[in-house]
Amino acid sequence: MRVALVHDWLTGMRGGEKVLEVMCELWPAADLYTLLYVPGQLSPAIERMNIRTSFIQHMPRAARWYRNYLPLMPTAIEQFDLREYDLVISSSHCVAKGVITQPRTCHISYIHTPMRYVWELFEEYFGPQRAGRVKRAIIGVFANYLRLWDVASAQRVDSFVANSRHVARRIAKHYHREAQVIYPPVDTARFSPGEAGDYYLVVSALAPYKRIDLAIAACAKMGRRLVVAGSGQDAERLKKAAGPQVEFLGWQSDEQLAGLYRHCRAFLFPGEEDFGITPVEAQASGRPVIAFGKGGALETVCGLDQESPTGVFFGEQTVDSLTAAIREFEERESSFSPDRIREHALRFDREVFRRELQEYVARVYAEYQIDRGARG
Amino acid sequence: MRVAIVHDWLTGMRGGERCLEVFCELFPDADLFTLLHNRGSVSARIEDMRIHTSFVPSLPGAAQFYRYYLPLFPLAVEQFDLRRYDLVLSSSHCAAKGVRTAPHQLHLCYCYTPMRYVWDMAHTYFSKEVLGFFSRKLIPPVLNYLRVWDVFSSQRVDSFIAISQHIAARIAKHYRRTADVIYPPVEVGRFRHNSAGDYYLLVSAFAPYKRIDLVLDAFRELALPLRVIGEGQERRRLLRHAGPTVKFLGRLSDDEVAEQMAHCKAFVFAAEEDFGIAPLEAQAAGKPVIAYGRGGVTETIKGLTLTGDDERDADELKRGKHHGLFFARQDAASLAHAVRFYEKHADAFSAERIQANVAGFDRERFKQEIARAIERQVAAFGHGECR
Repeated sequence: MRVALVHDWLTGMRGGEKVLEVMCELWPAADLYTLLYVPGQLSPAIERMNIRTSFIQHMPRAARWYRNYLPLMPTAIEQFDLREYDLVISSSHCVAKGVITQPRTCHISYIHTPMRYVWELFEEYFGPQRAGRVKRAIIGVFANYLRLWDVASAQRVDSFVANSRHVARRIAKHYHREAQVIYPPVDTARFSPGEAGDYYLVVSALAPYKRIDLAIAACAKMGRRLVVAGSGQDAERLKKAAGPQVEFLGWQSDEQLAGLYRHCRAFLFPGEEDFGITPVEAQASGRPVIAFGKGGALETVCGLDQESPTGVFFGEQTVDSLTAAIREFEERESSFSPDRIREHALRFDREVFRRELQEYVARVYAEYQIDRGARG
Repeated sequence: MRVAIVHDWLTGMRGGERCLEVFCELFPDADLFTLLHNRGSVSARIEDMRIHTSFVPSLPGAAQFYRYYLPLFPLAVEQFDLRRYDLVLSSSHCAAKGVRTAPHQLHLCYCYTPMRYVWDMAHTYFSKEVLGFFSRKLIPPVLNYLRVWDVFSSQRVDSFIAISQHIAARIAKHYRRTADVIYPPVEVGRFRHNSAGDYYLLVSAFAPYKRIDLVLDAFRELALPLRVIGEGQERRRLLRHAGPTVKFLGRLSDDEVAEQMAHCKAFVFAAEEDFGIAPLEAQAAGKPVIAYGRGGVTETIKGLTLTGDDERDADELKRGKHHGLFFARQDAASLAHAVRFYEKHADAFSAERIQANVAGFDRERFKQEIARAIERQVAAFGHGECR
């Protein structure tokens, strides 16, 4: 059986690449297709694959500007010649799912999110606060094309896997396709419970839709200490708005992060994520999570209405709503058990993911062969 | 019932036009819509229809170079005004299925293939070897657009009928639509069997995906006589692959082709075809077919798939149930091996049994099956059940 893996781009290790890493372990002999590869940014399990890139790799300053080439990516991904493979597994948060496979090839796509910049998060990425009028007009045209392509290319996938029920619903909404949910891997072994400290914690890329501004404003209002780990395009804007009780640590190593999680009072998660790995990492460290009650967090965090809660939800993406949730948390702080919280997080462990993915792919591939046999 | 038939273009009689001819017989009063019509290029039965064309014929050089206007075909086909009709039957290998109809009109599509240049065959049609620098840069974005249009326009069809399971699988893959299968007509009556001469035969249009180059390479190595009937865009390139034992006969009349079929040793075929009429015609002449074991031929011909283990394959063949040989890899070595194997075991095939196998593919059968399928769909549509 010849296997190809497809991933949008290889420029750094984030959640999607953790998924890819497990795929590379499960199918080490596969060829790995990607639009763009910047060597040295990824784990050895990924880098030792046979990696093949597209024409995006050769565009001017691609390693830095690749996001600007988004309108060319559908064309680039369609040019991969996958005729010789029996099984194609794409790991897609953008265009990877749009590869073209032969009818005899089974194509399974693990969807981290349907191209979020052109669907739900379009305004957050390209709204009036983010882009000028001319830029928005141009982007609007491209986004229109990308939406058309995104839906058309979704029909090429034989079987969808979503990283959460939230994403499965979005796949149903935009593509009218069903998806199996397999939660992404979290390396829970890296984390362990410890003594709670006096600070609230945010671990996040500093991107607009993460709504770190809410955490900063709420902590300022309540006079609580806040630690923000992570970097990103919004760093300057956020630092300007922050008061003295906020500490920006920038990028942190895995070990440093594990320490920050272990000793935080609670983890703050004000964004709407498709899945959201960081709340699970916080829970693997035994710490409660205060999260916006939408998206993947609803699937990874147990609210106060549950038998053994692991966090508190706030209903509106406003400072007041978050402030109320922090207060509610502080009132019931002693009722959270670090051991029970960690136990809950183990359901999202890497090994669970590995087993579920392997079983699912084997089953779908076998069924595909039978269906084809029945067709003649 | 007012009927419109939509066919991509009328520039010559090939497999699709043989089917169209039957549609015209079933609905002689229908209007025939087509992107482009080169007068006199198709049979009288089709020429006699009321033919409506699009804006494509008025484009410069369209009669000859219409293929270059492919990016405009979606636009052209969407401009047909079909409001007057109750039934629209599209006969489509390219854009014809994309016509607009209203909810009260039934649109059936007899599909030869989803636009093959943009899907499975894109890498064969537009490989680096065939394209120059500019076309290599310009073609991919055009293909990208055509794919999007192809998928969306496929949703306009009320019901698909595919020419083979192979095509039904492609429709399922790219459009996520189901399709019934009705095999196209083969004029089995035109062919007769005669004693084998000393040559192998290939009848094919010279298009890249037909992989004639591979047949030529194999026979150059085998140094066995091969006759090639056909013409096409690839002729110059193919000549370079031909050894001294190859004879190009060019385009021949139907009778001449039948004559060549009657006397060949076996028919060779290296393409992955959507259906593959020529191999079935050879079978109508009682000739074994040596073909690449993928695509339509695997549905229509009972071939023995060679495993490479000659003894085992020979034992299997002795049971006398096979009407041809399938080679597993689409390369010259794999084909050459199959021909060598055939040379040793040619007497294991029976002309009568081969002919009996294809008798059911004739034109009458096609006409009846299509008529019945349309009747059923029209009745179901009246009851609001069409899928």
